[in-house]
This record gives sequence, structure tokens and C-alpha cells, in this order.
Amino acid sequence: MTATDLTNAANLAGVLKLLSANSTELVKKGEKQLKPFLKQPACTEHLLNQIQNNEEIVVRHHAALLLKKKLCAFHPKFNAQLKTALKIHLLNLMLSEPDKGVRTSIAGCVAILAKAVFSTSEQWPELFSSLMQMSQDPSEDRRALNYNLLSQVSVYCT
Amino acid sequence: MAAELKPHVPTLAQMFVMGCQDTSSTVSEAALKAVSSFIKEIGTEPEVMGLQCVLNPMFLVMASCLRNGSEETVIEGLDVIQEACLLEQPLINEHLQVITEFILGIIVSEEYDNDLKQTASQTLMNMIECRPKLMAKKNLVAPILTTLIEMIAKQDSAVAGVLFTINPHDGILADESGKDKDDDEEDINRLAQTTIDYMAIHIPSKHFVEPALSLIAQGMSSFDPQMRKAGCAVLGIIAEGCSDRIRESLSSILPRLLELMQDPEYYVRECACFALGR
Repeated sequence: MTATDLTNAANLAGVLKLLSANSTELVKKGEKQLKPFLKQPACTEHLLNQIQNNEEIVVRHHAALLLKKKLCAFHPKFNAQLKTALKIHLLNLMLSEPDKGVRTSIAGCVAILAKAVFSTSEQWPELFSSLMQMSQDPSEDRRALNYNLLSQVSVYCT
Repeated sequence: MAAELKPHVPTLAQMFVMGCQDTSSTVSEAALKAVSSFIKEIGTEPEVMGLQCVLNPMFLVMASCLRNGSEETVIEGLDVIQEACLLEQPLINEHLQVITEFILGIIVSEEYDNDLKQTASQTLMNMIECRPKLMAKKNLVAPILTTLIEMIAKQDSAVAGVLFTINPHDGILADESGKDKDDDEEDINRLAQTTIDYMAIHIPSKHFVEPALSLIAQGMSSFDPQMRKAGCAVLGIIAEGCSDRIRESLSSILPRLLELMQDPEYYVRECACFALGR
């Protein structure tokens, strides 16, 4: 049996969906298919793509959770361009995500990325301006998300 | 703490203040959790003092959580105060009075669960243990003692020696399902007595014994038998922690205590015997 090509967005979405299946067997099947894929730093881009473009909440949620798990380890391997793109992209995704649960998971990714960025003494001024902006946002959800993100930043970055 | 975060602490503090003052309880509770998290994580660093301005707004959120039944959030806030007590940084020093009032309000109220009362009481004990002189300097000994003595007076269950008996709800004997109202009363009693014992042990006797003996004397000469009971009970509780100073006052205490051993109310006699035994 040939391995599924998870760099294909539809295939990856299908496997991510398996993680929420009702049967343990299916969940295990999904995990098994994901294992080699998640060892490659390139998986971050594909996961980001799912968070940004997939219409199903469950797929976006799993993509965000997996991204959070992998970001710190892969971050040192990214080139400067990708690092910059990630910072901008994740903040935008967090602000535009309609589902609360997924939003919180993306906030977790942002906090982990902050840890990775700060541990190498890099700068991320956009993070602080986003926090400031969110704290004054008319939307109650965004203001609450701001503090949720700050809680996670405090845990990961201190 | 990441060096990149340090210059942002004043900005973050302002953000936390704003969050705690938010009209939405979802936002203010999220802000409270974020402050708690930050204090826990950066507590050992001098930068934590930058969060001092957030404490009062944080207490206001905790008070509003109490009103709307979010006791879990209040417990979380109290946990942070407990940790702050252990810090070398004087983060809570200017707020001891407000915290004490808040905690006493929880302990005396009949509205709240025992879990919250226990956490509140533990917080008070941490403050007493870690800031004993400051608690005395801020004149908090008498108000705390007055509240605790009144709590003991209010209890109908046996008071004498509750502190010195094994609590069947602790350790391997714990079984929440079998608890009834009397057990809850005993828990509250134990909580008040343990706190008084803590005060007697940790607060320097020159700051503690005088107000304590004055309140005990008031209790023992009260017309209210429940207050006489409480006065005797408290004398017994503090006897060990303040033995030297009490010995000096024995001539004035003992005659009244002996009189109370013949009190018409058995629970007063019981506590008088307990105090004499101690």
C-alpha cells in the first residue's frame, strides 16, 4: 500500500478528519499516516494552509493543535523569510478565525511561536501591537482572546 | 522571563488593568486569569512589582465573581495571592488590608462552598505566616480575631478541642458523600481555630497577646453564653503559642475561667475545662 501524499490539501484534510472519528481504529489510522508527515518541517506550511482555507472546524482545530505541537521544534530550521511570514500569518489567522475553540488553539500557536522567537532573542514587535489592538477591540470575543493569549504567552515565555 | 517581555511589563500591566475593568465578565475573568498566570510565572523576578497596579482591579473582579457565583475563578485568584505571599518581592504588602477584608467576608458568609472558604482561610494563613509583622503593623490582628471569635460563637457544634482532634474528612478517611451539615459546621470551626492557632504561633506575641487577651476577656464576661464559650475556646487555642505571655496574666484570667467552669450552659463549661486543660 502506498503512503498517502499529505502535501495534497484534500488528503491532509481527510486524515485530520480521521482524528475526530468515532472509532479508535480510524483515529489510530490517521495518527499513523500523520507520523512521518509531521517529522518534516514543511508540514507547518501545509497545516497553516488547512487553518486558513479549510471550511471544516474540526480540520482547522486539529491543524492548529498539531501546528502548536510542532512549531517550537521546527522553528530553528526555518529560513528568515518563513519566520517572518509565520509571525504575520499566525496573528492574522488568529484574528480572522470565526470559531472560538480554533481561535484559542491558534492563540496557543502564537504563544509557542513567541517562545521560539524570544528564546533566540529575535524581535516580534507586531505581537505587542496586536495585543494592544485586541485589548481595545469592540468585540468582546477578541478582548477575551487577548487575555487568553497573554495567559498562554506567560506560561510559555517565562 | 524572556528578556524581550521585560520592557513590556508596564504596557502589559495597563492592559491587565483595562481588562479587569472591562464591563464584560468574560473579558474581566480572562484578564484575571492572565494576571494570575503572569504573577505565577514571573514572581521571582523584580519585574513582578510592575504588576502591583493590577492588584486592586483584580480584587474587584474577584468580588464581582463572588457575586455572580464564579467561585472557581475566585479560588484561582486566591491561589495567586497565596503564591505572592511566598515571594520575596513585596507585591502584596500594600494590599494586605484589602485582601484580609475580602477573605474575612468569604469566611464568615454562609453563601459560599467550603472549598472556597478553605482556600480563603489558607490564603489568610499564608499571609500570617509570611508577613506576620506587617499584619500586626497594619492593625489587622484585632479585626481578624474578632471575626474568628464571632464565627466560633455562632457554631452550635462542639467547639472545645476541635482543632486537636483528627478530622475524619482528611486523608484516607475522606469521604465527601457522607458529609452532613454538622460536618460542615465542624469544618468551619476547625478553619477558624486553625487560623487563630496560626496567629498565636506566627505573630510576635507583643503584637498578638494584648488584643487577643482583651477580646478573650470580653468574650468570657459577655452576657451571651455563645461568646463566653468562644472566649474560653480561644484562650485554650492560643495557650500553647503564647504560653509565656499568658502565664504573666494568669492571675487575672484564672479566676474568671474557674467561674465559667460552673456556667449554667454546658458548652461554656466544656470550653472552660478545655482551656484549663491546655
